[in-house]
Amino acid sequence: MIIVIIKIQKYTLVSNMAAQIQSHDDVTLTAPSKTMWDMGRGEHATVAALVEMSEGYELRLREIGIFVGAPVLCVNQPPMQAPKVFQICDGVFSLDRDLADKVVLN
Amino acid sequence: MSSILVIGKPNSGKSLLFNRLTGVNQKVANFPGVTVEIKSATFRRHRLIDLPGTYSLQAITPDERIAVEKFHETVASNEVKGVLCMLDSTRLERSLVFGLQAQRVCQEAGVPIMFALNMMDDLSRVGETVDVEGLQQALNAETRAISTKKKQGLEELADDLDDMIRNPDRFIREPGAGDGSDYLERSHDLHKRFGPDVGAILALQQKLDSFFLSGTFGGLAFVLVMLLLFQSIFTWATPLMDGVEGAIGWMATQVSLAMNDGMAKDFIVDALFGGVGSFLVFVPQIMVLTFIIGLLEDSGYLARASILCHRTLSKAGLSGMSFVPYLSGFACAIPAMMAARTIPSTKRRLLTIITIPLMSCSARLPVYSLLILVLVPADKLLGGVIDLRGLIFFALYFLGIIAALLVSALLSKFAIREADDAPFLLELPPYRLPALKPLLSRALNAGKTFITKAGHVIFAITVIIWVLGYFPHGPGNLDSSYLGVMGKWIEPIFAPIDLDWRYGVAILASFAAREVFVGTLGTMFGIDGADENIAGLAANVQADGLSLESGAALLVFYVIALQCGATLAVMRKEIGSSRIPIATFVGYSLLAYSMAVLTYVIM
Repeated sequence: MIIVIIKIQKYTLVSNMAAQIQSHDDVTLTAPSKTMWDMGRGEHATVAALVEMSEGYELRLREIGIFVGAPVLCVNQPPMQAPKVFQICDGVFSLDRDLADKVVLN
Repeated sequence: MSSILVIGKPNSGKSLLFNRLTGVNQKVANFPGVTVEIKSATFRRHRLIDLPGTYSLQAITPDERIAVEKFHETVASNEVKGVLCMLDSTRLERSLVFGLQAQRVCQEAGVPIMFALNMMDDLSRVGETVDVEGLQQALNAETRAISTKKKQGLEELADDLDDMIRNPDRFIREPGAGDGSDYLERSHDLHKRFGPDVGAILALQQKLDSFFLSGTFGGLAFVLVMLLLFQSIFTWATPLMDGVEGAIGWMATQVSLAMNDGMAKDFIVDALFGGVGSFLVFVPQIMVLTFIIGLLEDSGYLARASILCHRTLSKAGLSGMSFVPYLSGFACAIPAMMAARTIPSTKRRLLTIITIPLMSCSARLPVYSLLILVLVPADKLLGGVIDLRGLIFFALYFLGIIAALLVSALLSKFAIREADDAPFLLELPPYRLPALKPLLSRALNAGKTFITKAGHVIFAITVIIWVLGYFPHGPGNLDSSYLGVMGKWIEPIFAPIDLDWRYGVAILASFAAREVFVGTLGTMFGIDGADENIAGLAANVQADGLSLESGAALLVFYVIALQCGATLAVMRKEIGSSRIPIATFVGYSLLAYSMAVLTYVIM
């Protein structure tokens, strides 16, 4: 029951993010999207939007290669909910859940 | 003297280049954020200034702010006559993001700038390269390919820097069209046209990460690495320590035989050999510890360890970024607290700085080693694989870590409650094979620094202790000496853990420097007539009858107590407050005493 509630909450959160993105000029989504934190090891995706993030971190993510349309690859999923590892352009970066959950993917 | 700024993204080899060109020996490591302050030194009649690395002119951490502020300040005021921007050829696009921003600022200020494309040896090892000519033309700036590790291209780069100062017009370019805000697109384009194949470069790194960050082996590998670190301090250092102890004992015996009985002989044997000599025995351990930490730092493993620790450290209000400062704290708390500048969150940085003194620094090594030698037998476990003394050593370090996490968790919950909005973002550097020579050099320097910095304090206090313990009645009358009389005043403080006044004097003296504990005990035992075993302080203490309960209590006291004035001074500078260091000192002293008494009672 608890697992179902959590899943519903997550679906609602991602749907809200999708609703925000739909108002963005250059991105249109028709279905709930997942975030970087949802990626599994070896999975490729494209960035759709950066949401609910401070200006400083949004710029920093863009500077390391996470921007709308950028490809990302999840290269590692360390144990115990540790920050995940992603290949972004020519670099390899680790992002924790707080940050990865704010990068919505196509 | 003209100044040249060395800038670039973190982990691009700025500090190693700085060391190579200037001949100084500042710390380098394979972890982004090692350099956290501005360093300068002379190079060919110029002043070379090494700034902390930054990914962008939009700084988000204190060390980045230092670099960006200094960069803008010096370029705008024409304080520097040239700028050298380091580019990591294995991370060309990321390097160019900052490089292009810096180039724009220099062009607008009319300051010459050139680029150095570093780590070309790493590229050639995987069969890749950079089109240096093409990149140079596209950047419209002088670009030199080098390898600071292999010392390739450094002479030519040095000549270029000389040229940049003498003929700046050759290096100054007009800013291009546009406002320079297209640096992200430009860096991507330049990398695509002139840069190496990323896949080939990252292949080995990803293979190794699939092991070191895996669910099954990652955590196990981390525990084994930490266990190896602490075991090696005992097992590898023991033959060297025995050698030093034997040499000091032999020298003391020769001097004792050559001199006539009297005050001079007593001073040399008891104060110099007994006091200062006792502390010198532990220098090999400092060197082994520095060597192993340097090995971990240079390999690139530390970033992976930071990731594995992040969740556990977060529960205590810290961050995975706290791991490297904590590890540095095993050598010395001072650079460790400065290393915390790489932590973007104010709250987590503050908690890290406050709890770093609980990491067992190298100054505690002589105390731990002495007491472990006295209390713990030289047994082997698991078929001879694990040394019992090494295991106890590990347990003491572990106790310090647990204490740090608990203190941080409590402060985070009840005292420092600001909301934290800085997430965890860390670049993983490539794995690199550490070079032996710099590691050995660093270990030797650590031993030298340990002797010279602590040596003065230890010598001064040893002399004072000897004088107070020798007079007025001469050798063998420690109990009725000035020191004995003063010591008995304070004896009640340590009576709850059944330590007599000699240990009380040694503990109080060690608030000047922890290593003084060993030297002070050595001097007092020497005065007291233990000269059949001149260099064997552990044997003397054991024969004197220090109990297991008292010894354990003493160990717990030293794990927790903050006994370093320099640490408090740096804490004050890093935090910008005097109240917190004072409160930390008082808090840890009371906690150390309470836990020592509790340990004694429980045992």
